[in-house]
Amino acid sequence: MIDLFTATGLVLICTLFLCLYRVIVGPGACNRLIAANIIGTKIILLLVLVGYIYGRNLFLDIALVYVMINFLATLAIAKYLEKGCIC
Amino acid sequence: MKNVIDWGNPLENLTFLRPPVKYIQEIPVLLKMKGKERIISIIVTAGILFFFWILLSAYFDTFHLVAGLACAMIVAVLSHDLLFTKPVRGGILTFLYFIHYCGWLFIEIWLAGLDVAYRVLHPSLPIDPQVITFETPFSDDIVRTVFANSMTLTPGTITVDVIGSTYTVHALTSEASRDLTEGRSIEKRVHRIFKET
Amino acid sequence: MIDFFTLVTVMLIAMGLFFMIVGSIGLIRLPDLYTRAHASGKCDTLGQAMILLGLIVYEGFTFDAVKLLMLIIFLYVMSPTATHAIVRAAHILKYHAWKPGEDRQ
Repeated sequence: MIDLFTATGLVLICTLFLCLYRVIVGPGACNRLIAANIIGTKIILLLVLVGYIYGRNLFLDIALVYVMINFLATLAIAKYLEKGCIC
Repeated sequence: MKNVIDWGNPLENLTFLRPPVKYIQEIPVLLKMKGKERIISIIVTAGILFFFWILLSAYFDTFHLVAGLACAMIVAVLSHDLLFTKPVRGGILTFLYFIHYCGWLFIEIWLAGLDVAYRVLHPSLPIDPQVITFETPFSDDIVRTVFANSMTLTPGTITVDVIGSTYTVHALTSEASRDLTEGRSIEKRVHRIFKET
Repeated sequence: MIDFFTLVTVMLIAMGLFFMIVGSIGLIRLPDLYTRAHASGKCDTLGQAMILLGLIVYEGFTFDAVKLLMLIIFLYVMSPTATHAIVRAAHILKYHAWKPGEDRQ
């Protein structure tokens, strides 16, 4: 099973580079923000998979916290683009 | 000759921390709950917090359980009116409707994923995007949020803007927009959960 | 003899990876921001939920499975909200919505 998880992680990293193309090329800040948000949610899956590969369930707690921080960061940047201030 | 450098007010430069005047909105007044409603609200909030404590700690000895219960009660007494701005109501029937709704939403999420996958992988990219605006009868904030999130998860539509009860929606195809303005299947389902209590 | 739960795990993870790859291709191939938000809000969230569901089946009935279930619920509450916030910012900044026959952005 560990081989399956490793292969899944490698494929995820390949799709992550596809998103990185949109971050670099995409016209305007909002296109970049959408791609960056997807990269953040893929990192969560990678954290969980790394936890299973090394057999440590501590990574699940880190993933739970990372979900919330990623969400807050996206909301804050979207609000900054929309209003010009974080308020 | 005095050699005084005028540094100015350092807080003046931090303009990004202050809202521009036109964006300052009215802060909604929190409802003061009394007696039985207040106690029910505190108990529900403390229950949610205590469930989360057990989930994250995963210890079942006496010390951890008592400490978690004390922390959950303190936080609930201080801030229960941030979570429930109205008195808690609804019984077992609402919960059953909610479970039924979640099952329906699960199937819709599947269909939405397959729909977008078909349109992305098709060589000629068969999309016909359009932006539409329509009215809904919802007045409660939670109902509006549930409706907007459900609309984003169901096939072909994402919510763009919500002003009052007027929704601006971006639809991927013309069938999806026609379903929203004429069929209104999502609206009926959300209505049945929250108005039958 | 292959275990039944292993088979279900492999199938769920394979389907999840399919949806993740389709979401990333859509992010590159679709013509403007609003349609890209469709790909990110639906395909990617579905793919993540399927992979996490496969891990739940692999894990069995333990405490970690409950944590994974909470992760799925969080993802499903937060992903539409984040998409909505970004699209609303783009709408207020007057991003042009693509119509059939125009150039892609």
